[in-house]
Amino acid sequence: MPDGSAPSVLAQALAVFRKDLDAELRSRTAVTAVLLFSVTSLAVVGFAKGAVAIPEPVQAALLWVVLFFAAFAGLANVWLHEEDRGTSAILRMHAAPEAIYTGKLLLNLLLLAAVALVVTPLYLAMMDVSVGRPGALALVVGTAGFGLAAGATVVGAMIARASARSSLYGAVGFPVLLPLLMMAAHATALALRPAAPASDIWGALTGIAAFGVAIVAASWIVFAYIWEDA
Amino acid sequence: MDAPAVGAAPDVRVVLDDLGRAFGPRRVLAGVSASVGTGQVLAVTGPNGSGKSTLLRIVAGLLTPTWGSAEVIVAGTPRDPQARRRFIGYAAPDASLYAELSGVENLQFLARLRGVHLTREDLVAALGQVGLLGRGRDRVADYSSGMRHRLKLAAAVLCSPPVLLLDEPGSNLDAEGLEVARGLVEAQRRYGLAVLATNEPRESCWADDVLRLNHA
Repeated sequence: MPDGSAPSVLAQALAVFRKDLDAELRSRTAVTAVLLFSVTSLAVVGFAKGAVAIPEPVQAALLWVVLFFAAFAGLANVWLHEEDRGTSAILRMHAAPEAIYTGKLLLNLLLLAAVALVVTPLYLAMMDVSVGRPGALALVVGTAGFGLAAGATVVGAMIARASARSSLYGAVGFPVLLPLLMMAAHATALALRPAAPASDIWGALTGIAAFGVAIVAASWIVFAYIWEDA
Repeated sequence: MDAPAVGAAPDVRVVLDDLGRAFGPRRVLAGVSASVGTGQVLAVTGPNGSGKSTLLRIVAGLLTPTWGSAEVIVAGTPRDPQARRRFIGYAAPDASLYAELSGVENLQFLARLRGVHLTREDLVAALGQVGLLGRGRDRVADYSSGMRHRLKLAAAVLCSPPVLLLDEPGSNLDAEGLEVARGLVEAQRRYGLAVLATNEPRESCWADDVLRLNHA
């Protein structure tokens, strides 16, 4: 019989993360979807640009369009797998909702970090973008990527049990993440300029970080209601 | 059902009181009352759609009742639906294990979530008791449907839960597998209680008492 103490949320979250990572390394479903979408959209953006010089705000916005759609092409897989393969009941029986959300978020953070590491340098090279402040750009991509992964994770959980999921994912996710995307595009444009004031970049980064933290905090509070059957 | 508790088995009881459940306008369960305690096995039978699986899911804390209550009382304390899950082993045809992982990895993962450390020998023994010795390293995707069901049974009894809920315990099992399932249910009397949802007379006869459901 189980003893009186339940395992910690962190221990359960790490177990969920480890299980999902093992499963993803074997099936490569999410990685394949995300990378395929990233490379295709990068190629489309590159062809569309041609030899035309485009201003920094557009360069910045296009980068986030690619990252947003890449995230939404693959990050819902962590939930869709559980629902489609009928494993969610066993997971519910064994882990706290907060641990499940955290474990899935950790995997999506890892996936998005991998995508950003591949997509961002490729994008900069293909679009011939000069970066004024590389360190600031890395910080912006990292911080906004955190918010993007957190948002995509909770929206993925919301739509995983609905019908017409593919259209719902973008339809629900886009308005939720629109403020983040706007802030990320603005901060990225600042980071591309060598003369942009550090205080402006710092202010934009603070807003992006606050949005990401707010998404995670809200997800922790509402996730049990999303995940549990009524 | 008032059979005496067995040996050092934990004090556990499942009490259903006027339990009912509706999905939208459709009533699946209504007015179900029963009680089962330590050392006992209850079989829930009834025609398709009479709510056997729904009843088990409510007891497991996976669904909330629309009317009445389903209490799981462990050591004298009623446990709320989320807190009770760690005291319950649950296997059902629609509750799958992870096909990408091996049998051993599935059991290891579930034990970790329960905060139980199992050695390789423990895991091998758990697989051995359901007749899967030698197949622990194979991915579940490569298992037959009967082998998958055996693994679900091993997962359900993995941490000796005081409450064992088995929905169609003999599903996809051959004669030897059925004997394994019967043995696990019989052994459960030492650890607590079991509730089986079944329409198979050969399975309902493993129980001390039968709760018959009709369409609500």
